[in-house]
Amino acid sequence: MTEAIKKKGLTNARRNSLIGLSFLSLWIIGFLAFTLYPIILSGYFSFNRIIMGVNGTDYEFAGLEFFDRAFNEDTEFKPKLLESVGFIAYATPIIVIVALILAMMLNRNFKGRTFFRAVFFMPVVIMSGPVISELLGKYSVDFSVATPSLFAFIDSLPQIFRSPCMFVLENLVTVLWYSGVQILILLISIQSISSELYEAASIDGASGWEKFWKITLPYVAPTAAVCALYTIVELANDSTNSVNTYISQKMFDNKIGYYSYSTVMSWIYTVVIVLMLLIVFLLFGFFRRKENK
Amino acid sequence: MKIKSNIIRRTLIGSNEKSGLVVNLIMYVLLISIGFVFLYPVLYMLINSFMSPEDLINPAVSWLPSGFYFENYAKAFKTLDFGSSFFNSLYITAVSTLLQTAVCAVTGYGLARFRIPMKGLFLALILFTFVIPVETILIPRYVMFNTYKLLDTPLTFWLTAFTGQGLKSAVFILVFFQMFRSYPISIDEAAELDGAGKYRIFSHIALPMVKPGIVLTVLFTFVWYWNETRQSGLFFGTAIKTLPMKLGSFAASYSEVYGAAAGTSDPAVSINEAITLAGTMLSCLPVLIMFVILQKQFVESIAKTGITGE
Repeated sequence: MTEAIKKKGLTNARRNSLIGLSFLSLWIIGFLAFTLYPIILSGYFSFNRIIMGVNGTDYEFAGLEFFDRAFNEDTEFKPKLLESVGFIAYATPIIVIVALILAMMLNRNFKGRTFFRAVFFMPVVIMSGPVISELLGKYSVDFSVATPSLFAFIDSLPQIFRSPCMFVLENLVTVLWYSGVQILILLISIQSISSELYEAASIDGASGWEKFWKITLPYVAPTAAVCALYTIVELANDSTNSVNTYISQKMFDNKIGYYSYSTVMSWIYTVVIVLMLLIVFLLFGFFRRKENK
Repeated sequence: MKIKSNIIRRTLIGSNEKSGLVVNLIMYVLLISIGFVFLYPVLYMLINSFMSPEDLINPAVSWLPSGFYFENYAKAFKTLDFGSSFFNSLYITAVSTLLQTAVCAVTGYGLARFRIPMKGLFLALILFTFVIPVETILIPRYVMFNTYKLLDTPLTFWLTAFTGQGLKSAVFILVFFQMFRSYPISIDEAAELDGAGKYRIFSHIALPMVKPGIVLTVLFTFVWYWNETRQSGLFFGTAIKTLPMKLGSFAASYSEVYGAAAGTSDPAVSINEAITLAGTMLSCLPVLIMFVILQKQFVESIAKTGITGE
């Protein structure tokens, strides 16, 4: 038996995993060349000043100079970072909640369901940076102007409630336009809940409201978490995002070491985004544990 | 009396089995108003793109133009250089889509059907490539492509797509992983007993099993690559102009084509809202038509792949 293995050179399990790796090989090469290496390179750029000369590129050690610049000297970076992060922090819960409500409405049986599904999904198809700035920037409905009485009511609310409400009204279209994929994913999740659960609850005399809190919500919570993470990533990578525009803008500025400063800013941005993702992840994990107890 | 009120109650509010008139009415009002919010920018674009310069100035004309004024489209067509930019968008997107779909399927199969050392690590790294903001990677990639003289060529897109590092590749790899894992392995084993090799099993048995996944990847990759402007702006510079890129610099190219700055007072030559909107319409049109035709596939492919996070 051992003789046979030696002859073949490989055990079956080894062969199996080698073939498996061959399936993965393209991705592994890509990861090393187009993700890992760039990350290392960008780490190098962050601590070195790039000098473009006639005979090629030179690097000069700069230490924490660019970080210092981002935090202490640049008056534009921090407000822009706050603006983008604030937008993500506001928009993500709104998108997930709106998507959940729309998904539940679409889950009902009514005429024209396919049509509405298509309408809610359409932005995913045509949404690109220039289209957004062309359409949503200028021509979308601004509800704070369209409904002055509602506006006046919200204005009288305390600050904590006022700003999210104002934000929803001012950015309603933008927020809705980002929820296409999330609506569909949540809809599918809702549809996969077994109808027996609802029937059993009805027999026990549960109202629609109770059924939502006790059945629908716990069931779709993991999917909602995935949607929240997806939304954050999607919004963070949006090219119309003010930090992203600023970073691309500074890429070719020779006074601040070309890409160096941009990479430093994108690292800071990355850290903030990853922190947000972690918070969402932990929040949902926390609720889940509570649910299980 | 009680029975009568019960009947009224049932028709208006509804019972457990069937929702009543009032509930349905509220539903429709809500859906139509939200649907309108979704559609408003698109409707606005469609209607205003047909307005003549006179209509735009005339305060009496606000929603319906006095006639179909196709001149805007003619001008936008020329400004966008539609023929060539459409072709650029089409071939760059189509090739990227094919490469990305192929490599995501292969990678997903490898992860789902083989015993690979450190599989958890691979899955974590794939998730990592999705989560990390592109900003961090984009600049070094630009420097790399610059060093290897790949800038200004579509290879910048194709290479990353072909190695599973393209736009949202990670999502599709995970979709394929999920799908390949969920059909019974005994089908693969039966084929193996009949003498099929692993690669043959993949191409002849596994791939046809995950058709919805392929449809999903092709459709979404196509749309996302078509609409991508940040990477294309960085990597193609001015060498290759895709349709959305042309739209991004619409005002500038308009004054180049028609030799008139945006501020000129002569309404016959100067750029106006209607022309810009016609341009926006033209740049959305190809994917919009595709969506109208394939609408069902778009929506159902997500359902059929069974990816909902459970």
